Order: sequence, then C-alpha cells, then structure tokens
Amino acid sequence: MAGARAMGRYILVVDDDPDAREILDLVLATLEIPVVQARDGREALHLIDEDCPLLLVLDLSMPTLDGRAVLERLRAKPETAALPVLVFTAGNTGIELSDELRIPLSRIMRKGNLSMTNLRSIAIEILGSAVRADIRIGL
Amino acid sequence: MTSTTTSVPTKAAMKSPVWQIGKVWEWLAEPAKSVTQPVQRRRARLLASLMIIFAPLGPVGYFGSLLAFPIRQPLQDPLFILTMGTSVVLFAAYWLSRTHRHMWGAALALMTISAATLAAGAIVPANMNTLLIYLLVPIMLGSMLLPARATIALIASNIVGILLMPTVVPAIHFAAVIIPLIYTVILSLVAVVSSGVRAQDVRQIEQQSQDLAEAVRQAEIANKLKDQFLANMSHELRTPLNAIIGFTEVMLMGLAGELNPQIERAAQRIHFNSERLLKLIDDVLDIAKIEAGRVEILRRPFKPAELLETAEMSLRPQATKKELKLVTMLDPNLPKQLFGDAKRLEQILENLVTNAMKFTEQGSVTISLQRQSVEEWAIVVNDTGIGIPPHAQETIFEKFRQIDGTSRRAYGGTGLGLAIVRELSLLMDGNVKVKSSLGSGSTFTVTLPLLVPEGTSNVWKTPN
Repeated sequence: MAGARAMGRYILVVDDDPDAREILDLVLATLEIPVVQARDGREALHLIDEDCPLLLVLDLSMPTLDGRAVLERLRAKPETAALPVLVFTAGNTGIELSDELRIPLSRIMRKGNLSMTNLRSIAIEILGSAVRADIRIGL
Repeated sequence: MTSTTTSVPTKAAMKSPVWQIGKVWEWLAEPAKSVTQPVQRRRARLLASLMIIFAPLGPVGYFGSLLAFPIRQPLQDPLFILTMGTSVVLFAAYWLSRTHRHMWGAALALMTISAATLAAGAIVPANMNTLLIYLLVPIMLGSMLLPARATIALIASNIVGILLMPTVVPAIHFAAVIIPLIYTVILSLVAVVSSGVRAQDVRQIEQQSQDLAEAVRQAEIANKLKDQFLANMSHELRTPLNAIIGFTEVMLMGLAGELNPQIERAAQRIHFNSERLLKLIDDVLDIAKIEAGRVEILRRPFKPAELLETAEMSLRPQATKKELKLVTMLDPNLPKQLFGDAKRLEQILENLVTNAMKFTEQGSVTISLQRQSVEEWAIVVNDTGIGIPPHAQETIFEKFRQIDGTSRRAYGGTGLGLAIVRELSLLMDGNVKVKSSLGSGSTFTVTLPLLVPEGTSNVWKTPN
C-alpha cells in the first residue's frame, strides 16, 4: 500500500474490530485519499513512525496498546504531536472525555447516531485542501 | 447536602478525665504484639487489668490495718512478709501479662493467691474459715484467665491444700475444713460449668463470624464479577450492533451502490431499529449500574455554557430530522463555572431532550439553565408537544412506564430515559418535576445543588 501513495498522504484508521475498520475505510475512501488500517495501537504507532498520516481515526478500547496510550506516545514526540486525531469510540463521549484526552469535543465521536455522515464531514474539515475541491464541495 | 463526616470525639470529650483514665488503662493493659488471637489478647488484657488492681491491694490493706492495730511489728509479722511476697509475685504476673507468656503469668498469679490464702489460714487458724472464702477468687479468675484443664488443676490443688491444712497445722481440726471444702467444691463446679458454657458460646460466635466473613468475601467476589460482566457485556453488545449500524449507514450513504426505494426504506428501518436497540442496551445497563449503587457522581468544576453547547450539538441531528426547533437559552447571569458531574448532567439533558422531541410533532424544544436559589440551579427542558395528562405525571418517571401501553409503540423509546433522569437527580441530591397540561406542552425541571464551593468534597457519591 505504501508504494501506491505519496509520502504522508493517507488516513490511518485504528480499530480492533475488523467491521469497524471496513466501515471507516468505505466512508473515508470517498474522500479519494488512501486509507490504511491498523488493528491496534502498536501497529498504528509502527505505521506512523514510518510515515506520518494526514489524519488518525482512533478507537479507544483496544488490546495490547489502547487509544489513550497511542495519544500519549504521539504527544511525546515533536514530529507527531500535531497530528490531527479523530476519536471514534463505542463508549461514553462528552466534555469529560474531551478534557481527559485534550481533544476538542467535536473530534470525539460516538459510534452509532448517524455518525458516518458526521465523521465524513469532520474529516473533510480537518483535511482541508488535502481533499479534492469537487469532493469537498459536493458534500 | 451530603458531606463526609467522620466521628471524631468532641473537644469536651477528649478533655474529660474519665476518657484519659480509660486511655491510660488501655495503654497499661495492652498485650504484646506477638499475641494475635483475639481470645488470647482478651485474656492477657484481663490479667493485666486484674494485676494492676490486685498487686497493690495486699500492701495497701496491710498498712491500712496497721492504722487500726498499731501494735503490730511489720518486719516480725509473717502476714506482712506473705502480703509483700504475694504483691511482688503479682507485679511479676503483670509484667508477664504484657509478654507472649501471659498464660504463665495467670497460672503464677492464681497459684500464688491460692497458696497465700492457705498460708494466711495456717498463720491465723482462728480466721481460717473466712480466709478460705478467698480461695474462691483464684478459682473464679481461673475460669476466665486459664484454659479449662488448667482451671481444673488449680481447683484440685486448692482442694488438696484445704485437705492438708489439718495435717500441716495441728491447731486446725479436720472438721473445721469440711465446710470450706464443700463450698469450694460446689462453687468450683459452678465456675467450671459456666466457663464451659461460655466457651461453647464463644466458639459458636466465632464460627458464625467466620461464616459471615466468608459470605461477605463471596459476595464481594460476586459483585466484582458482576461489574466486570456488565462492563464486558456493554462492550460485547455494542460492537456487533455498531457494525450493523455502520454498514447500514454505508448503504444509506450510497457507498454500496445505488439503492432502489424499497431497499432504501428497509435500510432505514434497520438503521432506526438498531439505533433504538443500542439506546435500550445503554439505558438498561445504566439503570442496572445506578440501582446497584455503582455510579460514581463527581463534583468538579465545569463550564455550564459548554454543557449546553455539547448537548445541543449532539441533539441537533435528531431535531433536524423531525423539523423541530432546538433552542438553547443562556441566562446572562450564568456563572462561568459551576460544580457537578458534567457527564451525568449531559446524560440528564440528553434524556430530557430526547423525551421532549419524541412527544413533540411541531414547534420547538427549549433548553435552559435557571437559578433556583443560592446554591441551586435547574436544568429546564420545555416543549410544545402533546403534553402529559395529570394522572400520568408521576408514573412517567417509573421504569418502562409511558402514558399507556400504546404510546410506546407509537412513539418508540425505551421507557427508561425519565427513570434514569430521576435516579441521577436523586443521586446528586436534587429532584425532578414536571409541569404539563394536555395539548400545551410540558416543562421538565431538574433542580440540583450546583454552586457548592470547591474543596468540600469532590466525590459526591461513591459506589458502595
């Protein structure tokens, strides 16, 4: 997959549930930016180390290395501290989680609740000009 | 207002001399750390206490009697030597009571008291009968301080002692010891039997408390397992359901190909019902947690404006779908910061607004935060919906209750939203009220103490 795209031009989706990854992949693929999947935090960090993505869509509860730990490690490194993150979780969301993770409330989404349409538009907002203009406007 | 209070003795109680004496005594009679069994510690403490009283008693009594009979020459008086000797041994027994050899201390003390009493009888044969009554003291104490066998041995040696008296002291006639012998035997029997009964009771109580401790341990394990089960369950139930919802959304977004109207309609129904099931699972798990007392309510600063904004943001899509106006009214006097559990407040708001929207076909749902009193603020949700008949205004807060059975089918929902609102309000020391009349909308008011200064206690309620 790495050969098919330019460096740093991809969206990384991290979730331990293969269905959740496939759904996110299908939705984000409409932005015509390559989507790469990771099964857990460790795999995600490995991929980010090799090539930092445009956007990280992150599940919180995962085996081996969970979403919170991934966020912590990303923030510890200057190269990845500014990487935009969209948290996509099955658990509770809200002000408290936003405070805890230090992520704007609008970038924490709960699975369900017509979240896909929402997620797509927020992803477009974050990615800005990285998304082709006709796709951006076609919303 | 709930605040943590611990029972601390008041200043007056601490200064009271009685309290001080109790403390000093406790310190004086404290058994050695190496003595761990509760029964042994109790015996050691009792022995120490008794020795503190008994050891000085003999000398005090003797010098007291000197006041009455000044003619006595203490150093030539065998009673004086006996009294002082006994006292020294009893102090030694006190010292032993503070070590792990406290049982030896008890045996030594009781043997000495018995021997001294018999010796006093030999020294003053005329008072023998009176003196021998004192033999009952070590026997009674033995039943409290010594194991049953040692008590019986003590009694036997006392009886032998009494029987030997006429042989050792020629002035004592055998007939004179028969009466003391009889009451010693009778009262010894009483002491032994009663201590046996008591020991049995104690054994039974100990067995019961062991059983109880085991039952508590088992219950704690079961509770922990249940907590874990609940947590796993909510995750395990949500994961496949989220996949169903997600894939249906993918279909509805047209990402799986063009949909013909029938399939689109079917997908919409799948989506709607899956969302409903998800909400039901969340609500059932929530109410289960609340009822089990496993919800922690925090009291932390939060920004009320942010709370309203969040709620509006997450509820906006539902409102848009039903073409309802969702209005947030910000009180100009709303403080920048209030104190409470933002997550639970969000939950209350979400449930109230979802409920309001469910029963409102056109018009608006209004959310506001209003001041009620110095400390209390109210979350107020007002709608222009169908209203609630007076007879139902109480029952709507019960679990799985809506106005009537048909309304659930007509309006959907889990019937748990308002029950959760009420439970959470109560947990936060607040209340929920509804004002409504048929056809002219409803107003739900959740009043909560939200202006409590920081530092009181940041945990409102902890899971029990």
